[in-house]
Amino acid sequence: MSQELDWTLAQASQALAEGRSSAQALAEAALRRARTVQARTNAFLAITAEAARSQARLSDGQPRRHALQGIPMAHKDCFARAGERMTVGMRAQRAPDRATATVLARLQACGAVDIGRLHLSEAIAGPSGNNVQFGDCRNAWNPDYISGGSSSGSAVAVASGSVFAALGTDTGGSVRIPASLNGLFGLKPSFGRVSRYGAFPRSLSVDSIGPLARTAQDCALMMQAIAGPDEMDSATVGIAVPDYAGALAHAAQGLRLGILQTDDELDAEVGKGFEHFVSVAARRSGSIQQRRFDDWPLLYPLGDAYAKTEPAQVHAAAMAAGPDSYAKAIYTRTEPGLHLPAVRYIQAGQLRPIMLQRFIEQAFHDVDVLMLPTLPIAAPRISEMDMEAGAAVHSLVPRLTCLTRPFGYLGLPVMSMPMGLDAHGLPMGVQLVGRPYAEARLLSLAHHLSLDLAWSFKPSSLAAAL
Amino acid sequence: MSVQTTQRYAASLEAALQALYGVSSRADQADISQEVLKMNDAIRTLAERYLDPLQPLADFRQVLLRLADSTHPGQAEA
Repeated sequence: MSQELDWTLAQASQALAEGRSSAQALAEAALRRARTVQARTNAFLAITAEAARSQARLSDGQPRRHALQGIPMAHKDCFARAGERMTVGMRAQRAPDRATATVLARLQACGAVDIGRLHLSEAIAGPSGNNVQFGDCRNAWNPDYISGGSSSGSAVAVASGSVFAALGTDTGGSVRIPASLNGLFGLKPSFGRVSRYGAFPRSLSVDSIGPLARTAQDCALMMQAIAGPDEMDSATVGIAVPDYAGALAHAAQGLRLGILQTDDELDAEVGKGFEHFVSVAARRSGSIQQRRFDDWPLLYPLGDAYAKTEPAQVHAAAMAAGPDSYAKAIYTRTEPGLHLPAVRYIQAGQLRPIMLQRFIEQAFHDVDVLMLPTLPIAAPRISEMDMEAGAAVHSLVPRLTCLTRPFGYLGLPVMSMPMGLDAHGLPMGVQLVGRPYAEARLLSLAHHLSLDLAWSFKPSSLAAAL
Repeated sequence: MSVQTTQRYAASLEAALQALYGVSSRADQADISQEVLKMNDAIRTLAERYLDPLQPLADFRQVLLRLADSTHPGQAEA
């Protein structure tokens, strides 16, 4: 068993800096673990061993200049690499891409080692981790349960110790949901914080790219590398980047916490886990405010309007050319987007700044960070989530995303962090929601709360890695 | 909306999909119409409540920056 794969990214980086390990040793251990994990979870679409070895050799031969240098990673297969084909979780073969996604280029520039391409839901659509074309991805803690999606492989590869961190994309919860179900920290950054150039779109008005890792500190190291202005994504231009790792110790000091109350029904054990989490948080911040937002029930359909019309625009031509190239659930989830009137799409856009302003005024009144569970239900078994059955997709998706989708529409930063285990030993997550561009504060709070909760696990002890 | 109107709307969807996009539906049209109407009704309700043709024009990204958390360092050098 490779003990070094139980290190956090920060610990692995420290070991490399002190000469206690090498990029090549870490890469070999990660590749061995990835092959074991693949057989049990289907987290990888491709393991690129030779390329990883070559990057690791290069890293070992150079002076150490960045915390991510020599660190094994892998990413959701929706980021372009120049001259290579990405699958986007679809069978239809795309042409090789002409450029590399900005986030991958930035990680490469830091010297990170890329060991493969990770599983994702078909066309980046779906919160369960199922994929008719490539097979389902399974939870790292127990392969009978869903991994969550659409950044399914990102969560499972990190939780199982195949890699120290991975990138995912989030439109309606696609970083936060798999992070929650696999006991990880997953950050959906504010709209405009991270360049989406070269990432296949789900919904360009909403999409964001963020890290999944085993600690908040590791997420901070990833954010430092990927955040910041990029002239290839106009949403990012002019937005400065804080020192995330530097702010970890102090950015949560003196903050005011609130609970966002919604009328969404919670499973009893999710409610109990959240109650415990809030009691721990209260010891840190003192009083905790209760907050509501009058229009909360209508935020989901607003977010859904973007999440259906914008993919419909992307996929309409391919749907006409080859309807059977898509799974039924993906196809039929896209169909309503072709019907929503243009007037409503325009209104959803005009309402967006208004709803954001109202949400900040109401829900963030005298509060810096809001808390609510990531999922309203405990981890479902794969057998309970048949997206292809009849019209099940239309009810199963909101069941998983009802607490996450509204924040994509609002463009707010949200960190999902572990809050404990359910009765079956599967992780449950909680969302920390900040005002725009509050990532430094959320990372710091998650760091301190995870210490207060004494949350930790060893990847080598999980079912996927044994 | 009456049941009859909803049924007529659902019945029209398949033809619209084919005529506008050349796409064939793979779903029960009642399910699709329910999904479309859910989004439509929510946006319609909020538009009636908050949208006014003469209200100041707001850019979403600018509003995000204006409402930014105090830990955000502000505008980067362009």
